[in-house]
Amino acid sequence: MTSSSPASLEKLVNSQSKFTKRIMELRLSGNLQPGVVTLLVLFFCIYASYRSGDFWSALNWQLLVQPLAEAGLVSLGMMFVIASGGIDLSVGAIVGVAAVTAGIAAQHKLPVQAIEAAALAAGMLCGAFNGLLIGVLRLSSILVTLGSMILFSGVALALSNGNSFAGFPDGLLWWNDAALLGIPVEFFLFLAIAAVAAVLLHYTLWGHYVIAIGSNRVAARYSGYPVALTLFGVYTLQGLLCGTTGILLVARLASARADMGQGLMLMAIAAVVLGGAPIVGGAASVIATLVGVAAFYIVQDGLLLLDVPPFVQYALTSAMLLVAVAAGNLLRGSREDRQ
Amino acid sequence: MKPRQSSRIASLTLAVLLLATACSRLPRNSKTLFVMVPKLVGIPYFNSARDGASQEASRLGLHFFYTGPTAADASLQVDVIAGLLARHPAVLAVSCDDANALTPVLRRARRYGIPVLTWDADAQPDARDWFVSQVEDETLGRHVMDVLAEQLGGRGQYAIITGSLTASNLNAWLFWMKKQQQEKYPEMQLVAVVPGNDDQQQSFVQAQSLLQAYPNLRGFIGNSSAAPPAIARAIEQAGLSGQIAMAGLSTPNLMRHYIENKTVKTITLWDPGKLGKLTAAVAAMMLRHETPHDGMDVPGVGQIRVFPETRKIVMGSPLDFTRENISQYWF
Repeated sequence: MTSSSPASLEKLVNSQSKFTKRIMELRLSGNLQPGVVTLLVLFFCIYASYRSGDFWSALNWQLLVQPLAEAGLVSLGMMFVIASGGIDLSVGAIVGVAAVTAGIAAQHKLPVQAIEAAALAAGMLCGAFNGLLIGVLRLSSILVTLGSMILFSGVALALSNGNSFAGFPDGLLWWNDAALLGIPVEFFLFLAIAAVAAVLLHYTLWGHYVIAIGSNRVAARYSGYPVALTLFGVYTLQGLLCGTTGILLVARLASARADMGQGLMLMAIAAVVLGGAPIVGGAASVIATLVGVAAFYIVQDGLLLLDVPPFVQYALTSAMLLVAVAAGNLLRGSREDRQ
Repeated sequence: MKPRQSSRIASLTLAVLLLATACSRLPRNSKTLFVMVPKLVGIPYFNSARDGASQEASRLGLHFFYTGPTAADASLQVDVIAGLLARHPAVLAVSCDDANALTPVLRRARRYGIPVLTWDADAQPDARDWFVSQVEDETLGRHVMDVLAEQLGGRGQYAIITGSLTASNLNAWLFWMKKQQQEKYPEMQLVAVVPGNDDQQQSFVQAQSLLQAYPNLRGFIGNSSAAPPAIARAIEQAGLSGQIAMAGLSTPNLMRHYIENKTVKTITLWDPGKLGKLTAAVAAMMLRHETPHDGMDVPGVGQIRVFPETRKIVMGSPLDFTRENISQYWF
């Protein structure tokens, strides 16, 4: 905003029409960025469907929502982590550990439920390890997860000996093949978990604690909030979600490898930020996170259909991220304006 | 933070988008679209294959499209292929980063009626129509041993540095190298097979310690593209250029320096440009519903071998790079 004093700002607001007043209110109240991103993606979709007849094909969207669901789950976990004022660099490695655990379980001819439980447990264990160090021992999240990222991928590599596992039972591969009304079940699972995440965030005490800790950790501690336990829960939940992603990835690739979740960490952080969540924590929105992750996959897929070379795809996708973040911040106005 | 108005608008639009998806029409069939996917884009080996394929494809009237992941990562490659299926290409050709991981998406492509080729690296046999292979394992393994034996005059101790001990293609080549030596060069003696894990530094350390451990060592084989340049560096640093022979599999770009300064006489691989050409030619055959047959002559490639029971097409003989011809190749 310009250097207008409160009085002149008030005069400005009063002189605006009803519509601009509404915009002003929005600007002063909060987060316009998901709207900006949705608009950008919509423009892109119109352009893509004009250029490529395949863009609106059912097949394109059926195939698109599967990787979207996997990255989306990790992004939801990352949303809680970032909202609590932390960051988790180890998510990709946890996905690798979960996938390899599933591979070992399948090798021992365990039933499908046992394979899934093993992968989820492995993911949760890794998350709990992070949570213990960050929540209870109060270590810095970026340092802890940087270390555990290397530790977990080392564990995954050691467990698998660098090989890829195959020969998973059909019951597990069901996650890849099954569809309801032509939409892959993976996507429904993702939506269901997103709904649970929204309830956790908005309607539970825990969700309230997460936001409070992210806004001001010291104040939260002095207010008697259970900071350690809450953070332990945040990272354990992230681990559980990574375990789920591991299972879905294993099902889609019919194999398991230690390096499976490689690209997911940056994608998840970018999706949360693209949705407009402040990277310093203290705020979160499930819908904004969904918009962020969907935007990435829709644009990447569209660019592929438009014959855009792979390296240019990356450049354009990241340009979109920067434009959205810049536009979101400019529209929101400065911090002082909001108070 | 409560969900804001703008987020609600956003979610509504997203829902409309998804609804619109559900009632959209089926993919259009592009009748001549030939899509080629490498393990990763942006490295000279695959660029070379792309150029060969693109040339041949335009000669045969195919619409050529080449894309792939920017890193050698099987799950990224699967995402790219999933995105491509929506275009319903007339033929899809993939160099598989991981035989297991690529299999489901290729099977799905076949289920949609897209003919699938694998080239350079195979998937599970039921996930593709044909595998376009560069050289048969047996031919390649025996040939590399011949190259070394020729330099050694058929006698002396030699060691092999391979990639990882679990890589199936490397082990197949290794098997035929050893067999060729046992059958044809009984006076040669294999002293060690050590892994360099496809890493130049590790291979270099292995080569140095082998030179120390076996003073009578006369030759090396580098059985993964990172090993030969590392061995050559070790030979050069030990001041043994010209005294220790070397054969192996690597690319001209990695070996150019050592071949030009005469540390190494010959390095073996195949021509990826030719492999690309052959892949495009097979794609054109599939479009015309023709079956390739053994011994047929492919323009610009030569005679190919065809194994109908394993659905495998083999390009032919390996290619040796020497001081005379290395300047013609860039990969």
